[in-house]
Amino acid sequence: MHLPATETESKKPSLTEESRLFITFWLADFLFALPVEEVVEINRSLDITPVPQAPAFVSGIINLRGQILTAIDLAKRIGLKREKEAHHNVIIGRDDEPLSLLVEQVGDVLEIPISQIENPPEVIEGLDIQFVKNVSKLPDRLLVILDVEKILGN
Amino acid sequence: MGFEEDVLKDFITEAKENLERLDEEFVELEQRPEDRELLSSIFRTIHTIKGTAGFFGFKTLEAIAHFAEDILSKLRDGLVVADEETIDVLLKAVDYIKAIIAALEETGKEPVDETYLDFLVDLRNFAEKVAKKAEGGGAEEEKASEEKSAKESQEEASSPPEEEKAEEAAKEESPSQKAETKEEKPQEESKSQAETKPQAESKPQTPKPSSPPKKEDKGAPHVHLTETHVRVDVKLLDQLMNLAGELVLSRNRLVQIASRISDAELQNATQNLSLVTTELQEKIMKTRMQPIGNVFNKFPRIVRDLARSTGKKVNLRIEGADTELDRSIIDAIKDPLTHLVRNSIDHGIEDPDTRVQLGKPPVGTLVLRAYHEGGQVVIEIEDDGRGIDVNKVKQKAIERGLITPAEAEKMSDREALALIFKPGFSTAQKVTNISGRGVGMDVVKTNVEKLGGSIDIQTVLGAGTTVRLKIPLTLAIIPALVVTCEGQRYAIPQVSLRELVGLSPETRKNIHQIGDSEFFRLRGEMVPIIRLSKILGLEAESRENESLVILNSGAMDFGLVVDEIWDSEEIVVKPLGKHFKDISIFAGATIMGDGKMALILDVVGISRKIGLKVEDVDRVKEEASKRATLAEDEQQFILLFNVSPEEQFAIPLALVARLDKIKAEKLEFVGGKEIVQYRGRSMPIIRLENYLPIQPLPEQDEYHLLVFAEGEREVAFLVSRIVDSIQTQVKLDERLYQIEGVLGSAIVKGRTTLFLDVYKIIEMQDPYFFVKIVPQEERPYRVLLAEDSPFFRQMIANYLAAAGYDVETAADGLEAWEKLQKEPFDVLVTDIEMPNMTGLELAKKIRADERLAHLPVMALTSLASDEDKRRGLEAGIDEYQVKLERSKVLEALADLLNRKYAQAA
Repeated sequence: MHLPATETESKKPSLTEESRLFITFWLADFLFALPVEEVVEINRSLDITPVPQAPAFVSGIINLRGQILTAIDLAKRIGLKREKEAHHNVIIGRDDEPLSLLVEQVGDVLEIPISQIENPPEVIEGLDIQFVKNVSKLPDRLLVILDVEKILGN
Repeated sequence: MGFEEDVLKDFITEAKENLERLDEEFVELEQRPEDRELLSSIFRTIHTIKGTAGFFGFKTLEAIAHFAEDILSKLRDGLVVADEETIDVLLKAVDYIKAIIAALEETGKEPVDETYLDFLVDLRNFAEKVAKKAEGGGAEEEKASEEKSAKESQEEASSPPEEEKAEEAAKEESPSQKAETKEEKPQEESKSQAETKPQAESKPQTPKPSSPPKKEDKGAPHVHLTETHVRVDVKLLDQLMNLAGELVLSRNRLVQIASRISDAELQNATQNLSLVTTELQEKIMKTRMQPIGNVFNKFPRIVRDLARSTGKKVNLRIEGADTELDRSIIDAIKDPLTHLVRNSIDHGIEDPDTRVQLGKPPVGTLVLRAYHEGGQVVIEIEDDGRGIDVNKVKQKAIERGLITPAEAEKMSDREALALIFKPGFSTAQKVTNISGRGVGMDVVKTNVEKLGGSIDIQTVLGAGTTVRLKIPLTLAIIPALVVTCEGQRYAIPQVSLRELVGLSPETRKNIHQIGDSEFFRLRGEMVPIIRLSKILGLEAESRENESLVILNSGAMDFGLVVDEIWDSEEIVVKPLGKHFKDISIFAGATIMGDGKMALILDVVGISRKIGLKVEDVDRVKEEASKRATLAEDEQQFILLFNVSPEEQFAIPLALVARLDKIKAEKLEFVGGKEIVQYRGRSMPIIRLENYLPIQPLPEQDEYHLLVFAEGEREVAFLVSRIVDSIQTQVKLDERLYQIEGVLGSAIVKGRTTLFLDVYKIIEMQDPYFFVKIVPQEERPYRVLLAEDSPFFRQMIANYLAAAGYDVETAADGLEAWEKLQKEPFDVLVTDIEMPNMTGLELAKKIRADERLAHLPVMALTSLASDEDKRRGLEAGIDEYQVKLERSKVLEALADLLNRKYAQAA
């Protein structure tokens, strides 16, 4: 039986402590993260074919080596105002139907100890909290871990 | 565990295949209850199931199979004859076996339910009854064929399961042996089958030793056949199909690049790759193809059960069971077909008494037919029942509030039949548990349309109904037309495509705006049109050169206005993600040759979006008839007909005086001429094959007459079928057929059509048919005919020549002008709308020219309005006539010449 780590221990992360890997990316000055297991691959700009009459947060479809994927305008999906173009594709794979999330910039892969993964606060300024699964306080900023289920609309 | 699962899977697959065959065989057995071959085959199948069930320890399954086998062995040995009751019980046993197999497939366990045990008891009792009957009734036969046969049958019935049980026991102890025995088992079984066969066969006949080798011959190819086939997982085939699709796309892309680079070696290589890819794709498609028989096989049983429960007698005939279709489509048409067959038996075929009263055979006939036609598969469900009463349909529709009595009044039979497909419609007088299950024909229609197919009903009251489904061969790769709208490409499946219309200022005259809806007048028919940009919800800038794509959604025709029409391409259909499932206007997406994507339009979905009101359509139709007189120049009505069914011909409808039908016996052969008594007079008949190198008219009970009149005289073409009359722009190709009596050829309604020169053909038959109204002169008048349409040019030239004029032709105003400079002519006959120089410009030029100023000029047009005439007169045109009104043209021409030259003289 694994016991949750205590507060004091978590301050100095060690290799023995259980941690999780996250892919991070930027969108409207927020640093977001998704667990690596969710992400299939990251791709620079791919041609997007718009699909008229689709929901507003759907940018269109992309051709990923012959497979047609839905491209989600992540900023719109989670209620963010984005100023820069979001050209990078974070491809997440779920139920045989991969999706591309469009982001502005892809960041580092971060290893975060489980103990430092916290429940989200009640409010995050400028962000719809329902899409946030967890947060983690990095030295310089807040890492927002997104809830894939919610983004997929399940 | 994994191993056992695999074996179980194999068993289930095999059992399912066998059970399907069983259904069919049982129904056959009912008709030929003494067919030993058939009985042996059924026996073997049940025997195999019993054996395997024993191996897995499925007790209920084994027991049911065991008792069924018991009964069957008695039938097979001829001790009892298969009566209806016996077959009923056996079929029930098959049903229970199916249910257990289904449960095994799902849960891996036998279902625990008392009904199975109850049935088992019934089955055992019945088996005992049969056994007793066999002892009593079959005693004499038994003696004749010695005890041997009885022993054999007992051995067969009892020993194999025991063997297998022993094997099973052995296996449980040593699991490593299982693999070997698994492989051995089928061989053993086939051996035992081969052994049983000759035994069972030879019994009823004389026990000559010469027969066994024959049987072996028969058996040998059977064993051989299984070795040439490999069972492949369907998923693997689907993956292969996808990969082939990818390959096609890569190939397309490579071909595009290669054509840009234009390197001979590269071209060669891509061409080769292209060929191989196409072939590979075809072959892989083939692996997914299955004979439609796989679905049809289910129907003997369904029909039998239905007929019994409704007290009707139905004979099912299956045709074209080997017609192949994509697996996914076969799955999808199962339900619609079942529904249609149920309908035919429930509503169509009458009960035997009624049928006898009507003078029909007591046994109704239901035909299930499949065949390929034009890249599609046609499936027909035909019955010889009571047909559909159109009036009843209308009445019902009024009762259901689907239409108003006034609408019903106006409806054609065809439109009324289409009501059947409306949601909430059922013609059954009473709702039966067979057809009236709340699932209507509308669901059938929707399902068929979802497959990109169409459905059509033909019915003759009192004689029967035929429902015809047209289904594409495959759903994965389809031919599609690529169009653009606001810079994006869209693909339209070719099956829905009717025709393309370029929207020029000229053709735009056919667009009528009524309220919010727009309509296009297509050969007299009002077709609702809608802009693709509007459907897509895009802001569209207005454009000069748009195109109109006329589509058929099954329910109706409609036009889609697109920016541009690109090529036709074979596209690989890829599904869209779930975020798009609420958008009904797309059927999927595809990747084009350049790697970019295009959405595939769902024609049925779009047609629903148009949502037209009936009043709108009515209003438009009225309006259209008012404006019809303003049709533009080159559009004309043509009549399409067949002489032999393979060849299509066309003539201008305006030339035909009447269309009529005659019975074959009305034709007479008098004085070397074929004539027909028509309206109290003898009218000569022209058989076209006597004058043109075409297929002859087939023998028919009734023929169609195309009657032509010249004053009091009449003559008629004898033809087999009137195909249609349509309004179209004829683009005639004169080079392909240079035959006297043929003006040229064109593609009309997807078929090469020969346009006939009616005047020429009539003249060939009777050179004196047409009155020559050439003015009395030493030499014939020289006529210059300027006409850009080759079709009209030839036709007019021919009838002028037939009337005795010397005709010279010019393809446009400019050419006519040049000819006028070189040679003298007595009269100019000219079209108005021509390229390079119009008729009006030509006339003005002539009047301005000193030498030609007095040349008589006659203008010919399709339809002349007063405004046109006024402008013509201003330009110096003396006469205005309609092209197709031959006698008027000739009369006016003679008049004009008389007037001019009498004046001059």
